[in-house]
Amino acid sequence: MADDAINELISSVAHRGTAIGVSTPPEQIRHIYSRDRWYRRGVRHRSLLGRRVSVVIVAALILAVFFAPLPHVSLFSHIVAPETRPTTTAPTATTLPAAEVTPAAIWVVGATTVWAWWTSGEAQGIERSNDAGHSWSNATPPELDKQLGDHFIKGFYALGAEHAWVTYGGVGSSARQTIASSSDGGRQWTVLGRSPSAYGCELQFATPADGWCTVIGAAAGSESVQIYRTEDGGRHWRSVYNNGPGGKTALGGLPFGCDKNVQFVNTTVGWAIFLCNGGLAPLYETTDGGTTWVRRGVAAPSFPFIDGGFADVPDLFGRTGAVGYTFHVGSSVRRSVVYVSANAGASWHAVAPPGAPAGWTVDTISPRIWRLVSGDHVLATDDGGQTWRSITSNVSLNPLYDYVLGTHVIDFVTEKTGWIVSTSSTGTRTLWRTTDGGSTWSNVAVPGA
Amino acid sequence: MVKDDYAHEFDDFYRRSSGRAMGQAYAMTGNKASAEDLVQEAFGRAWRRWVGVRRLENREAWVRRVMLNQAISDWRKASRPVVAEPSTEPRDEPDLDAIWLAGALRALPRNQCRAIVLHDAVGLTVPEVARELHVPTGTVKSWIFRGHSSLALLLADSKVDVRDG
Repeated sequence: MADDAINELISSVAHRGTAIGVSTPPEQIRHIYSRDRWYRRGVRHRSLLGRRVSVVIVAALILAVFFAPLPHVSLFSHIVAPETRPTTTAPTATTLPAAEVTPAAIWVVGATTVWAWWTSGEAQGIERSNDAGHSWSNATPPELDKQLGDHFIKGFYALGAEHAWVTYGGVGSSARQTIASSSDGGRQWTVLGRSPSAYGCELQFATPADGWCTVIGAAAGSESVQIYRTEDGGRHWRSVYNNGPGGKTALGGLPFGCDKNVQFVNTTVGWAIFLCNGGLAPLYETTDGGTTWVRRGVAAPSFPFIDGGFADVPDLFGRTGAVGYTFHVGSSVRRSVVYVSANAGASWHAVAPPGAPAGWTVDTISPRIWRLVSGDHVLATDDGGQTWRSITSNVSLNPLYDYVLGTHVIDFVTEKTGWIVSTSSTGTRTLWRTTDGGSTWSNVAVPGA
Repeated sequence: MVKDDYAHEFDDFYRRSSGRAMGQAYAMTGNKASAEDLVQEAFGRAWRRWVGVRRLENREAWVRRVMLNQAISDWRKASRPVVAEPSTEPRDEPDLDAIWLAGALRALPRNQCRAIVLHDAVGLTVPEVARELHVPTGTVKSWIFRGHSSLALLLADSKVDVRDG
């Protein structure tokens, strides 16, 4: 059966479904699913809590099945003997891909160093620039230049200019994932072993040895969290945290509800930032590498709001800290503030930027040096919001605000030098760089853009 | 906005978009009752989160995603094949194409299934599918190409099975 015939078949079936239509009136939907009546739902509609429990149970079963064939392996102990293979060498030729290529992710790791992970049809690649994007080097693991079979690159993490990790495997979200790493800027890659989670996970590293593999559960609006820790660069992993529905009340745990993102800033300190369905998002901190979590106090702002979320994890130095936060204050209306702490992160209160309320994309260079970007304006303060200056840029930028999804779209590495990933209305991403604090932005050619 | 306004807003959204959602659901489930269940569950969740969902630029995309995830989740739990439902309206013929399609879709890798449903059943363009799935367009093209190839084989097999049976 030809492509067109398949397309036509599916389209015609869908049209028949549309023609059938729904018989349930909206009032009935609202009644059945009303927030205070969820427990009255009929037999055909299990409670959301039930679904969440099911998600966790299914995930646990899958994990158990995944680890079962491995000898001497437990979910709660050191896991996964690495599958080693000889170190391989990446091709050294620099080849910028042709058009029709999409950058999957852009990783800024310094004033001049940036990594790009791109895909184009069956092709995929990783490239690195050490000269602010003037030239790029191919850093693709040699056997991973095609998206075929179990060679789809599913995740990437770069630590500085030299250290990088990829996860790769089949395209199914439950396909087993393999981890490989490079310590020379992508010239040579070594396969380290399987991902500790059957679902794959998000890698992050604080040092070349210390890393985490975080699995955020898939339930919409509420998410389980499993955290695995490595101390040898990704060869061996152990489970350090695994919440579930019971985590809501467990001492030292993360709540099961709400969308969330977990990031670590050094070998012991990490933050969990949230986006909840209405209300003020909580903030949790770990100081033991992810095993236990403490809720920090976040004061509500003085203005009314619907909901919102943190722009990033806090910048904390000594007793002072700062982090951006954007509220929804109306339909499609946003208002950004900077939350600050003067007691080592124990409590946080909002500092509003001057001028009319606006949805700024906030980057904190340090607890007192902040840059806020919106369109062709940059708001800058170097004294924790006591004095501000407004900078008009040569271009209008749209650094897509992604709440807790962990997408880094803005990064001022110094007061003057900054990067922004701007997103067009069609989803095209472009990389921009300034070396004068935001007055002049230059477009940086990125592989795939 | 007062509660009644939210209700009116939701009702309007439901009336405008539930038909299209039913098309997607019918293609994924192969029968009317399961499709209605899927649509009802997705819009029910939207109502429970309406304060957040209403401010989304593309509310229908949110509903589509919930339906995709829910259907795929249900497939994983259920091992029995798609069959024609006992009809309460005896005059209706079972929609064999829909049954074949639903059975074949559930055999695909999840991402291929998502891409094909959004592209072929919902009618989104490749860039639109890419935005909804948060992946590059090249990846979507690849998923659709491979999914179509697999579907062609699966549909041919299932139709032969039915004819032979």
